[in-house]
Amino acid sequence: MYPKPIERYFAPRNLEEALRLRAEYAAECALIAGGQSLLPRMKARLASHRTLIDLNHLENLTGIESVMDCVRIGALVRHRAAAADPRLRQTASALSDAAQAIGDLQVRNRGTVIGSLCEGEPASDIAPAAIALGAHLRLKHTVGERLVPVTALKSGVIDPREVATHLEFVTPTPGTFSAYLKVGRAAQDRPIIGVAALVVFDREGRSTRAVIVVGGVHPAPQLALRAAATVKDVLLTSRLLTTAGEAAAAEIATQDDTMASAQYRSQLIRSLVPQVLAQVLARFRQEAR
Amino acid sequence: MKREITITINDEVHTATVEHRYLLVDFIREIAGATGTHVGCGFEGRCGTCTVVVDGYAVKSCLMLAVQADGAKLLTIEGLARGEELHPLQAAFRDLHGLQCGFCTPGFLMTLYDFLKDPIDSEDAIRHAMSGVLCRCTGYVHIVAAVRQAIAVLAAMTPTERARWFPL
Ligand SMILES: Cc1cc2nc3c(=O)[nH]c(=O)nc-3n(C[C@H](O)[C@H](O)[C@H](O)COP(=O)(O)OP(=O)(O)OC[C@H]3O[C@@H](n4cnc5c(N)ncnc54)[C@H](O)[C@@H]3O)c2cc1C
Ligand code: FES
Ligand code: FES
Repeated sequence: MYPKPIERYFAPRNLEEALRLRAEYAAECALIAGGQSLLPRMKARLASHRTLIDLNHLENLTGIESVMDCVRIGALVRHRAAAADPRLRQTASALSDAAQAIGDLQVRNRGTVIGSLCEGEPASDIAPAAIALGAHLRLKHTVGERLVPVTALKSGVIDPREVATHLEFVTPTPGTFSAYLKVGRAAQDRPIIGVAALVVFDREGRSTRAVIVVGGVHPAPQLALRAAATVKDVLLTSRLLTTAGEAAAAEIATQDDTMASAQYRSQLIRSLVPQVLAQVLARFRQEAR
Repeated sequence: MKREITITINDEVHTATVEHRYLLVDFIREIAGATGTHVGCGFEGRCGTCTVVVDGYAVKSCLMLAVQADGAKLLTIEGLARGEELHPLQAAFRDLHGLQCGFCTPGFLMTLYDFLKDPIDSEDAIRHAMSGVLCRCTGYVHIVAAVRQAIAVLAAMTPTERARWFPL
């Protein structure tokens, strides 16, 4: 199947030019990064755009860098690069796990971390991990910029004149460990349920902070606050992990759709939360050794 | 609505004026005439048989516009062998029955080409690397065996010999 005719295609080399074009064509244009979400939609005629602005030739947006006390991921960082980045693996493993969990090799070669957040799709692997890390999206337009927390991203939040340039989060302090796990229908599928967890440990191995985020639920990923409370200020034991799973399954509202029933989703939450916490604990123990 | 673009496919330069919405896979098949790259799905980009190597990375050519590949260097299934000499991956597929009808094969070979540049010799890693290509008749057991053979053959080569098999 073919996209509807595209009248204009621009491949700007610098951000200023991209922002100018974006402002000029606003609602009738779409930005294209990896195209792994946009092109299937355009081919299925679920979306059509008269103007496309291709971000792939922009300079200075391909890196993962530390700036002051923040980690900044550029708009052209592909899932493959995010999954392989040693610093992310070390300090923000939930995000590298999520990038590695996306689709297949070809989709990871092309799709971008930021594109995954901008597509406004609840069944995204990146969103729960980014939320667990407290990440923000930097949105620029011709005369200014703003930071929007990933928790606030739903469709319509990004203005048609804006371009997301970076994903940013405060570099996690030593003692912070995280992980992401998902279940999809097939190896290359979007998550039916995906769970990100982040725990801060003190020297004795007690958790001083815990965040658990469940994705694959409507309309956006949800924080499992009660489940997180069960694993805070304690030494984690396997019994506690099971309790956290029960708590999360009880507090997160799930939905029936073509991918899975609500009941199956709750069951997946019950089983994934302990698994992902166990992974966080294993990472902590490995480093403690 | 149209734009002139130049794409290098297997060392041959192709210039054409195409509609913005023209898909890369159609440029490869219809303009360059390299019909070894197949099309197996409508819009969803899941079968993987259209996979080609663009500037070194395996991508699904049905999920890229031709205009996006302006200036790029591509390797397709036709560019894998050196004359009569099969690429070690092709030879392994032949030796170990990694194909029956062959419809999916170009997608497997071009995806695994990317994986074999820096391979991990484990069944799990191989299965993950090829999860983006579907085979509906051979099944995956023989394909995994073929990849393991290719990994061994390539590992036994000198770096220069090996590099010859990875031009992109
Ligand atoms: C076969 C297949 C399997 C997949 N499996 C998974 C999976 O397992 N898990 C998962 O989460 N996803 C999956 N996806 C979806 C896909 O991987 C992601 O949605 C994709 O990586 C998004 O990034 P992109 O760069 O390709 O975005 P694009 O398709 O280029 O863009 C997506 C949307 O975001 C907008 N956008 C992109 N960049 C910016 C920017 N910088 N600023 C503002 N707006 C922007 C675009 O305008 C568009 O609306 C799969 C897709 C395919 C085809
Ligand atoms: S034709 Fe099926 S993935 Fe491209
Ligand atoms: S060999 Fe026939 S589909 Fe794979």
